[in-house]
Amino acid sequence: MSLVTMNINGHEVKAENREPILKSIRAMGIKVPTLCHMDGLEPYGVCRMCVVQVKHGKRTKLVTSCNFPAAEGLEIQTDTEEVLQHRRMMAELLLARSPEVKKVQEIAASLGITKSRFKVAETSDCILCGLCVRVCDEIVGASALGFIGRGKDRVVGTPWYVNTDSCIACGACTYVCPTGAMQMETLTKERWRRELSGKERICRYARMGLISNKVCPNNFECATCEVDQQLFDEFGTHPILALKPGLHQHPKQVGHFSLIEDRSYFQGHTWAKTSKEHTRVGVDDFAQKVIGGISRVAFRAEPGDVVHRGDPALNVSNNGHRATMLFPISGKIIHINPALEDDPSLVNEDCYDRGWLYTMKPTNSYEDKSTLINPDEADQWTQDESDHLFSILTDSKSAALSDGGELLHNFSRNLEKKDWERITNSFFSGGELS
Amino acid sequence: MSVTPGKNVDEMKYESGGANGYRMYLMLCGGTGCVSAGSYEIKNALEHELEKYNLSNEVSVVMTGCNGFCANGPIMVVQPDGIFYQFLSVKDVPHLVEEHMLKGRPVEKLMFTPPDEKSVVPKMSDIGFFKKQRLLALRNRGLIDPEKIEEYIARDGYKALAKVLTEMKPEEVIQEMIASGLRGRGGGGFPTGVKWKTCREAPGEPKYVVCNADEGDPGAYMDRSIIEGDPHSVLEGMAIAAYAVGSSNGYVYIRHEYPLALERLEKAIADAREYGLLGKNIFDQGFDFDINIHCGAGAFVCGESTALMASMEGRPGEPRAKYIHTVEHGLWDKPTNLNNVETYANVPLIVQRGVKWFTSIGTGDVSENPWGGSKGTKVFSLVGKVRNTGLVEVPMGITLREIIFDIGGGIPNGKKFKAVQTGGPSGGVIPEDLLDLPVDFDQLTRVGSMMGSGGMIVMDEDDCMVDIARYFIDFLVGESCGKCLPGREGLTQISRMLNDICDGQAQEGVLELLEETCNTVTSCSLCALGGSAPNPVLSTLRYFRDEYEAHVREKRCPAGLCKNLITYSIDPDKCNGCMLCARECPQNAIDGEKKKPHKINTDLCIKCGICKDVCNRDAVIVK
Repeated sequence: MSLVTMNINGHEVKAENREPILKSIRAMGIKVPTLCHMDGLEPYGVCRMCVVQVKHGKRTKLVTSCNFPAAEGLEIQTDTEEVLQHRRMMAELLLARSPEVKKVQEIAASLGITKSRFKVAETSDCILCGLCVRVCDEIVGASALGFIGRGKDRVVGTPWYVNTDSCIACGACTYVCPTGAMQMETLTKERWRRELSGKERICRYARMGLISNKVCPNNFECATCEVDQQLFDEFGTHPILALKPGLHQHPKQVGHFSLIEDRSYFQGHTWAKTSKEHTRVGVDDFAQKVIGGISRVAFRAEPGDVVHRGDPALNVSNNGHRATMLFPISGKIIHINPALEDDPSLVNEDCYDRGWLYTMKPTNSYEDKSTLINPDEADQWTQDESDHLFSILTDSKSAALSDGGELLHNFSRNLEKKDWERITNSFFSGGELS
Repeated sequence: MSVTPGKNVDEMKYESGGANGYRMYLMLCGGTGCVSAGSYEIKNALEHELEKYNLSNEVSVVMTGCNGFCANGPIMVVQPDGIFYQFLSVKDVPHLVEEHMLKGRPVEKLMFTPPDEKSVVPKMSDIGFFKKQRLLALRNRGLIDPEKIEEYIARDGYKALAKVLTEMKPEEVIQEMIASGLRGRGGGGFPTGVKWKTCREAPGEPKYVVCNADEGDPGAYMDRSIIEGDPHSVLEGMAIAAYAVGSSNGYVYIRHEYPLALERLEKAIADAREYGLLGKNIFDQGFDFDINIHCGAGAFVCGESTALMASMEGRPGEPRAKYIHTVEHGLWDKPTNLNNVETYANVPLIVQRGVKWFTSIGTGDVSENPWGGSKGTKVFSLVGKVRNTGLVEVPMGITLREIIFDIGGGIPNGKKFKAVQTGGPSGGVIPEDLLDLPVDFDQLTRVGSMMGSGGMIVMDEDDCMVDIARYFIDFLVGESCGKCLPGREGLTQISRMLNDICDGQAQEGVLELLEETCNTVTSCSLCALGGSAPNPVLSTLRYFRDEYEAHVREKRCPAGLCKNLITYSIDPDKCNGCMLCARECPQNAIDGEKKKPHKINTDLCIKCGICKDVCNRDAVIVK
């Protein structure tokens, strides 16, 4: 990414090329109203409240700052009379649609509007900002909600207005809804209460993969549930917004092993994935396959600890074979994955997603960036590591490879101790890595 | 069978019917309008009659594309003499065949008679409607059978593709397009060559070439007609574009409400593949290009480029912000060149006949700046209160007056011209004193309207301008996607205000609020549909503000159209008591005895206007 220089309200600022200009505007402490914008979601640009005036070359135009890309030489004015006039008009339009909604009243009041000149008819508390639809799709990955109809008949709902199994009652839609119009979570829980019994009554956090399978003893009254409260406290927000299961990309295959392109890798076969709130770390597919069926894990650090890159993070064992995995970055531990203690095999099942190890607050992201293997180089690195592994396995007398030269499933069980040590030293925590 | 350039194309001309030596060709219109009016039945009847007189070897019946003169269909032109027949029906056929085809005596009663004249005009080329037209995009109109690729080839079809593949570099093709000044016929008027250049230079593979055939303006059917009448001209244009931008994948996005166009397009693609004009290694020049059809479900907003691409990807047809252009990040995030049907149809002609010829037609100077003028022709669908409704292709720079009065034949029933609406539902209304405006992209925009895709609706003194604005806004409220606030809430409120004005419910100050709302919708909407949607309101406010004021202040509709603001009465001096209106009135609201003046009971009257329509003495007064 390269930096560009822009001018905002007469002040020169630098910004990353093509990054939405709202970020730079807000970084300067300038207030721009938004309704459909949320950090972490793709910009949507529909409430149009964030409109600003942009001059690029000879042309001056009005654009929405939430999705207009930064470019060299932009001259941005955030509060011209024209801009404010349009914002006021939009506030009036909103107020005519949703006169009872507090958030709308606030935004309107901040622009000096208390009453709409338009006729108020057919009101709705939903302002169609799309936050619920987008959070369900982009962050939760459930895609249970969508828009129905077009033009003035547009509403938010489930396909054919039918209560859907795709909804996991995570409540992210309710959590992000700025007006309180969203009731999807309640509807799904009501259905669960009606239709599920005994062991089927699985906790919503278990459905999201945040804790291991747990039956809800509380009749899905999450508001009064301890687990719920604890998770909210731990993450400081809705847990699903912190973990973003929907953002996970599909792994791609390099030889026998898979990689995901949205994260960086450490030479000891652990990964780090940075999001706005924190960095998550885990082990990669190479490590998971080489170690084989994991029967026990032991965390080597606790929340609150400060660790350094290369420090031991986790002891794993498979049938007496042991290995130690190392931290890919330095930083402070925020949480450990609670689901792993109950079910260590999650690392084998889903090493890039539900089998994560820690969330951390990195000490020095710049240093991490320069030392870790970035996604572009990861293909080649994995290929080299794979070749190295095969040369060791071919040398060894243990039965690790099939006749066709394929890796046998859970092959490490059959390895002799010295071969196992050679592998852990070469790949995970040995020699040159410390 | 595959074709090599030059020699084979010429050879094929002789295979394609010319050598069969028919004495006479009956070019029967097979456009949607004439087909609905029964042209296929007429075709069967013609063939049956010709068989009867043993003329099948001498006279050939050809189903052509749309001729444009749709209001007078079914239409048939007898070649080589160019005799024009209209309003044909199956029962006319025996007489027609016997007289004209057998005895050589053209039938006058089936010919065209200009209004206000007594004698017929036998030849198509002498009829006013056709005389001032200049056919480029519609060059094969009425001359070929659109379902036969051989006939397109015989009219020099695919010669331009052969030329670019064998003689020109892609950059040269692009340079030629820029120099020609061809601008997008879908409405935006963006220079085609400049778009191609950006697409060629955009990083990313593969690239796509897409044809926008999602024509959705009410009353407009230019693109449908081109595809129905000459589908290969579009395919050839797309292939040339593909070569220029470096693409081998093409799509046509066409609405499923166009079954005939769809059928002919499918056949054209299949034929072109069979002849090796689409597919791998076209003309043995190592150029691969194939076209697939994507059928749209008919949402107006899907004509917008980003909504169209979203729809093709299987997502809801909603626009996205165009801060990043589709030529760089379009279909499946790849560089995509999207042009309209008519634009593509022009391309082969420009390649064949050259920039000099093309730039000799139209306005302005594009030698330095591709935005410097409007070159070539534009197809309009001329509808509304005009005598000759239909599809016309005229050179850029022609005046509105020439289109409406010379080609369109003026306003019927002795009424007075009031305004013309161009550019489809989100275009603007142009008043009488601008009738001498030369029609091109920039002039129309300057007066508050736009070229749009080429709709042209003529209005007379009986049309209420507020009602017109209300009609278009209501259409757009229903067809907007509802994604952005101004497009959804803004248009909804504009529609409410206009309905209030028409109903006489509006308060003082409504016009100012209306204008203010329109300005925000224009400036702040997400896409061009929203941005241009207030045009019908803003342009009528600009030119007919007095009509709005009459509605608001005096609660009066000057055109006598808005039901809540008018009353029907009978002029006792004119009424002769014929009882016709009393009999037809659905409300039995008209009292009166025979031969004595009638009276309308305004409490019962629903203002349907039937009494006015049936009165022979013009005695019904609307105020």
